[in-house]
Amino acid sequence: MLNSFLNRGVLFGLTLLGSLMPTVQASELRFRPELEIPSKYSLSSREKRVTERDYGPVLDQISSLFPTFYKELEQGTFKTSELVLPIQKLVYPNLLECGSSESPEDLKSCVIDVVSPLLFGLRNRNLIDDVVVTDLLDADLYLNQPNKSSFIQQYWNTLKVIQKNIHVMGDSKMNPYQKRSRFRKDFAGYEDLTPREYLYRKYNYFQIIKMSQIITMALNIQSSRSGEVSIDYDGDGKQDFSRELSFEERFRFGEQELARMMHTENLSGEFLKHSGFGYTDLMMAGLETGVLDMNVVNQISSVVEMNDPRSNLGKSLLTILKNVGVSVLTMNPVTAPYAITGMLLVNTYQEVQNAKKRRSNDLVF
Amino acid sequence: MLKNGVLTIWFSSLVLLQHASAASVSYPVYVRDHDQRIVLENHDLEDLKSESALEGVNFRIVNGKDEIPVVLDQSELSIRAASVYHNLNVARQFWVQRLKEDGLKHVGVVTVRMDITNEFTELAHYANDKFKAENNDIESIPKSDQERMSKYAPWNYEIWVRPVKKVKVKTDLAAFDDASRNSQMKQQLALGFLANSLSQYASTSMAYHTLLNPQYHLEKLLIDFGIVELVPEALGLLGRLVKQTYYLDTATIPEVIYHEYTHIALSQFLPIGDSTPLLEGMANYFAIQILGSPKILNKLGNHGKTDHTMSGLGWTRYSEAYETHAYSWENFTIQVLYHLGEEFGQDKMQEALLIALERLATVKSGDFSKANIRNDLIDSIYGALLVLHPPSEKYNIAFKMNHVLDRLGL
Repeated sequence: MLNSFLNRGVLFGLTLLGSLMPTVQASELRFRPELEIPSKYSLSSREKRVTERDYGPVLDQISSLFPTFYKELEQGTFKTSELVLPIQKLVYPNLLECGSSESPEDLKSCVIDVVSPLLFGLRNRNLIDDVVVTDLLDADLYLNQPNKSSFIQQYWNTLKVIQKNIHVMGDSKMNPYQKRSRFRKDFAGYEDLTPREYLYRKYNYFQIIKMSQIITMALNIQSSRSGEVSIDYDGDGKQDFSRELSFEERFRFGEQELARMMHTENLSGEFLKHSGFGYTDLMMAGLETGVLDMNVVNQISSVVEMNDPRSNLGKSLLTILKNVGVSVLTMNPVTAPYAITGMLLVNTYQEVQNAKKRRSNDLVF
Repeated sequence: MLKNGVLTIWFSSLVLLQHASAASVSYPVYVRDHDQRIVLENHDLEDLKSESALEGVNFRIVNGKDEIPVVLDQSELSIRAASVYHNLNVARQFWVQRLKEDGLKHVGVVTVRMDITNEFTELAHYANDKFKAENNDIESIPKSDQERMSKYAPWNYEIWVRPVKKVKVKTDLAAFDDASRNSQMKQQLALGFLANSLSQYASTSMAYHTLLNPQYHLEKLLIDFGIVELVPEALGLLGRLVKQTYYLDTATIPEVIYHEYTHIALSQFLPIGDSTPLLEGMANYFAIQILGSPKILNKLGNHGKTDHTMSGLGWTRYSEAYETHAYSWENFTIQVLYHLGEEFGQDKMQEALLIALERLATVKSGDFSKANIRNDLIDSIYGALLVLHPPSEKYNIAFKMNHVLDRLGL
């Protein structure tokens, strides 16, 4: 049961644009035929009837929440509990049965069995999509994890924003993130994807939202109104020394913090562990979730060093060629004097440029 | 009731009469032309109380410590004084648009004292005549304090224009010339060059008991002698050729007048008298805005000789020293403000600066000597720009500011 749902989820996850993208940008999508959703994974008409029969009243109850949810979302008065907690409340009596499970695997299986019909029922009514079903089947979500609730709320908010933004994004011909890249070897078969397509192919909604949260946090630091460094000399909990940070120090700290958060998330993050996401993905996620606009993305691109491992091949090749060229010129006795003169000029120029970049000594960041 | 009514009519008629009597006279004044050169042109002197003297509704121009307005008699003094009057009116128009009449209510009638050499003292207004005479400068004078105002001989805001005087200054080359005539320096040069030559001579003669190449030693000795004796002379000669005079006819340079009036217009936020890089840079920035050119003290012609042209165009890198009094007249603050203005629009920047000033005045309790550029000014401007833009622009503003500030090494 678990495997079948998970398999279904993975395949549905690969067609993340199934519910949103194809409606707007079908011309840009190039699905490989073998990865399209096979019809056998869709619910049969019998399954649909069974779901409706068993969970009809509960589904009606949940469905009734959705118009309110969307209305309140637009008015900005939506609260965490309004969607997630009712669902949890409705499935809770059934979840109690799972309390007697002996092993974690049994518990997980039981939760999936209880929750999944409900979710598929909602999907049949076109209230949620396949990816949501896949992600909400995470058993931990329903077992006393209050911190997940806020995340779910953000998820729903973001989903709505994504739906709104997709039209805007689709119209933007000048958007560099619509360009196709030929350096996508790590995602076999999809070398020709735009960063946007790549984002939706590789990451699920939760991951996209997590990325947008990371970049929002960094941007909030960079655009903060004040900040300080505090030091506790003796560990007594009192701050013995503090110094205000200037605007530029806060801005640079934001940049450093972004790099640190990305590293931590890649290393041990709950949602993005070992995902290898880079600045391009972050910015794409920010654009898709509406926290960034193209102006800000262009600004970030000019400031942040795009050390995306996927796009550094060209740079590495150039460095190798340069080093080999310099070695050959300096080893040849005929060209050596000229090469050394050239190197001297280049090094002096670089030193002058570095001096221009040097900052005052009393800066923390 | 009737008495009150009569009084009101009497006062109203007085005010009307005062405005009705405001005269406008066409007079030659020094202004900047389209190429930013200082030229003498006829312009209308607005809001004068009479057609014969420089006493107006907002400004009164007097000579030295006199209280009688300068007479419009086509003399050199009257033309310089009329130039000050005209350019003050230009600056006032600029500030009326930004601060409105209410914002300039505290200014009152400003007295301009032409060619005054006395120093200013807060206690006595004028320092004793025996003290050192001030030249080639201009100074904004704060109004006397409330206590003095109510007792005797009070004064309102004033601008003191110093007379022009050609002063000899020592250039770096001239200073070197002086130093090279110093025997100690010559001794050191001789030690450096001649001692080396002599030691070579001694070691060769001791090793071989003869000079292998006497011509070489002689030539070397002569060259070293030349370096020690002739090079300082040549540099000294060059130093004397370089222009060594300095003078500035501040009355005839429009942006100087804009700068001083800005000090007075903004005196409700920025105290007059404390020359910090922040205060002077701010006044210079507004002088640039009124002038419509990013450079001031540029193309002075025969109105001054100084190498201290100021410009908002360069990209000077930040140094902590730029926060100190010694660097009040450096370009750094103007460049910060001018480049931010280019990024956000100069009009927006002016608006933001006025909001920022109010905030600065609150944060630093009016003590601007404690306010610095890197933290206080920048943070205040950032806060003001956030106020002037919709919240959705926040990230954009931060990045645009960083775009400028990072290049300036802040």
